[in-house]
Amino acid sequence: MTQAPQTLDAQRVPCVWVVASHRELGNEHGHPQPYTVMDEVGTRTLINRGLQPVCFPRVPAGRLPLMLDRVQGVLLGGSATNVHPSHYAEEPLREGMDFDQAREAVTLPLIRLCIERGVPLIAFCRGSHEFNVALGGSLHQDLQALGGPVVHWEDPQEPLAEQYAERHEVSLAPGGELERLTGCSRFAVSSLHSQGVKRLAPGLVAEAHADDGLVEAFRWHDARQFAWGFQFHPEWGHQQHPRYGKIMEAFVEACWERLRAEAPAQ
Amino acid sequence: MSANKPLVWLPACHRNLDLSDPGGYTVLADRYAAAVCELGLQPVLFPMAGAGDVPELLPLVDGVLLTGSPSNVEATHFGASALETDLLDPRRDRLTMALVRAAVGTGTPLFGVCRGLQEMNVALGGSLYQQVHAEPEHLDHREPQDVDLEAQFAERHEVILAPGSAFADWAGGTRARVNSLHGQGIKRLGTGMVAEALAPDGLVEGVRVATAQAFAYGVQWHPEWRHNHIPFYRRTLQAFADACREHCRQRLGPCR
Repeated sequence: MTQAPQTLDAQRVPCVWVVASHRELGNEHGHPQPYTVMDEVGTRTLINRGLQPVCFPRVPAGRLPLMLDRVQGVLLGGSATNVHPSHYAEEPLREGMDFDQAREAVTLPLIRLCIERGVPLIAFCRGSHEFNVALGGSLHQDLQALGGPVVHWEDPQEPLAEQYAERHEVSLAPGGELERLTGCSRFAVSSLHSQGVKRLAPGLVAEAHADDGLVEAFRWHDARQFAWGFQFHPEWGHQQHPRYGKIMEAFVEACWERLRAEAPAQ
Repeated sequence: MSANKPLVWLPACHRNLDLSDPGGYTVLADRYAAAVCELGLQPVLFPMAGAGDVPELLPLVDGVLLTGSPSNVEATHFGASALETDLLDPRRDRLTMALVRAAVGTGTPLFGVCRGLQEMNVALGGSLYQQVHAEPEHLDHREPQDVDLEAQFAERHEVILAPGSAFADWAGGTRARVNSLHGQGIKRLGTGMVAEALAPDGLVEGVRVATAQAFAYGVQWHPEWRHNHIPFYRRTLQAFADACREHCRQRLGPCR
């Protein structure tokens, strides 16, 4: 550590690029129009932990490197849409699946840039699927159809707070980074997904598995760089759930580290 | 190092996805962000930013674009009370009230569209008609309900532009046709604001903030709609973009 955060300009805190989703929303007459949409959970978590969330709506692919220079971290949250299977050389399993290819046009190249440049990256649920696919991995398109023993998907009838409750346990890789980070070998996680990692991309290391073998957490193989994907939601309930808190804290610290590295030497 | 890209802050709206109440999601209608991109600038959104964040965030950007929205400015900001039928977005109100004053005060280029114009007016001490169509001396400025978007955004009435104003320059004359999709409208003009475009019923539809050090204009119509096809709209947005580029040059040096 070269400098403590207090020695920086007091106004400077790490900026984290929260990647948006896209949806057609109705106006007051019902006419649908395209919107950039961000759920507020990831945003609120960053603010509560002292970071500045920022988003670059409609950023053209050619500007990604320039905009990435402005931030010290990237957060990819969940969304109700699925990663389009064409990114891992498959056809959609069935008609009527919801996609958001405008989001993938940003996330897939952005993830690769984060890895190239060492920008801290944290990805939840759909975000973790994008992380895996961006580096050449593939996904199960419908876990429910596989009929495994673990129920990974939420009950749409339940209120959100219940949907985000801890639903099943995960086992951490013995001696792994997540075990070191959280100080435990098994803990309960939230589970609201119908897709999941099938083939983990080259360069990624599995750090946690559900009891049916599904990869629930992974990271970039070089642990000196913070780049993690989580199938569960450490951003939801990070203040109540000590393991989630430790995960978020590690991301926050990586963003501060990045900012300190940018600060001119005194 | 590569040239800098001017950043334009677009304050977001807050709503549920079915428009039922002002919460849950941070959203931005893409046509504003698309127009900003087409002007060669980069939109930026600070989700959940509050009034207290303005002093730290405003120095990071080169312009502020206040967008239109289905929600209304809450009437408590101009000494009245909200109507029961109002769709509100109090978080956006709190941010934009502070943002308008800060942009005017710091010489950051500012452009308001529809709700954005109304926010500028209220932030600078003006008031609004909560229902222009209920005023006997005014026309109904709302869009027809049962037609498609193209028809809703069609040019609906004329505006009379002050001779010698930037508006007259952008329009190439003192009259222009504009679209009209609003229920609220300017009643008493805010401090330092000059009316430079009027509807045929006298409603103030285009303003300049004379006390601002930089570009500070607001319009009741939607120049972002089909701006590539309508020269008046295109020149209006271009003037805002030029001001943002100039701000970027002063802030950071070379920019494109």
